[in-house]
Amino acid sequence: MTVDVLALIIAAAFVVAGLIVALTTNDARRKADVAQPAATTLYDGTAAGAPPLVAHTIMLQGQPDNVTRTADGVVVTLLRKGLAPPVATPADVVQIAAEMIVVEESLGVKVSRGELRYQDRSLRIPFVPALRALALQRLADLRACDGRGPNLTRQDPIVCRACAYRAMCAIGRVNAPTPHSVLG
Amino acid sequence: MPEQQTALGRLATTAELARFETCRLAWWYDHTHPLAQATQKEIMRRLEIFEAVYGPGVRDLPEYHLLTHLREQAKDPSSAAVVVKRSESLRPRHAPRGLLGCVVLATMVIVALVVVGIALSALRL
Repeated sequence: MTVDVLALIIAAAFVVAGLIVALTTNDARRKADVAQPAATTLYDGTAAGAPPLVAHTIMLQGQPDNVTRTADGVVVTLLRKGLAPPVATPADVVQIAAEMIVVEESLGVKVSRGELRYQDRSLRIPFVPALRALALQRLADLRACDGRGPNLTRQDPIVCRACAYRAMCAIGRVNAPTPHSVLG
Repeated sequence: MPEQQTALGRLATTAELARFETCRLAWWYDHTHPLAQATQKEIMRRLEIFEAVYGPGVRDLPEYHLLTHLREQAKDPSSAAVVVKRSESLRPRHAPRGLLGCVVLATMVIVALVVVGIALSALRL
């Protein structure tokens, strides 16, 4: 009999503890939702007919998917296909940096960070001065190559394997041969 | 692609910059390939010819991938990179765990109690 009573007391304690934990976490989550102010959309690049943003001083045009003002500051978002890689690719980093520069100039706001949003998670890219410098350097490189072509002698075979031009590219033919490129 | 030309140079795009970062030669081909300026109609015509000639195996051909890539560019001239466009709320997403969590927890507790009860009964026996 004593053992039965003890079992009942333990059971009741378990039930009460469980309910307290569940209710507490639920309440905390609700409070977190309320405390977070709603993000204000400054620009929606996904909207039909959304005009691209232009930074006239550097002649650069961009169209981020979203620009929002949150508690953390202004956030520029680019939507990406598929699952997130462990780290952002260099191309994505340069693009989002360029988008942030364009947003700052065209909308007259100070961007705090960028966000690459994949299906499973988002990668945050803080907009630090070095990143701005990198994007501007790449833009200068691009302008230097405009008209006369790039001087590239090697490339990562992984990049070549995913490239549509590999059959007609001198480097791509070596790095990622296809039946066509082998036959010439 | 209509391009503005000023003293600073033509109007470049951020997607183009990403392409340039991935591979400078691919970026260059985007501008100089004979089909780079072709209309979507012309590209579609060539794709149809490819499909008719090579049949189901056409997807293995790099030229087919090149044409599909150019078709995507022709669809959206402002962006070489194909980016999925989807609208979704910027609010943080949570799994609906409120009531469900309670139910799951209660079930676990009941199961635990049954196990404890069985164990105690066995001990008494």
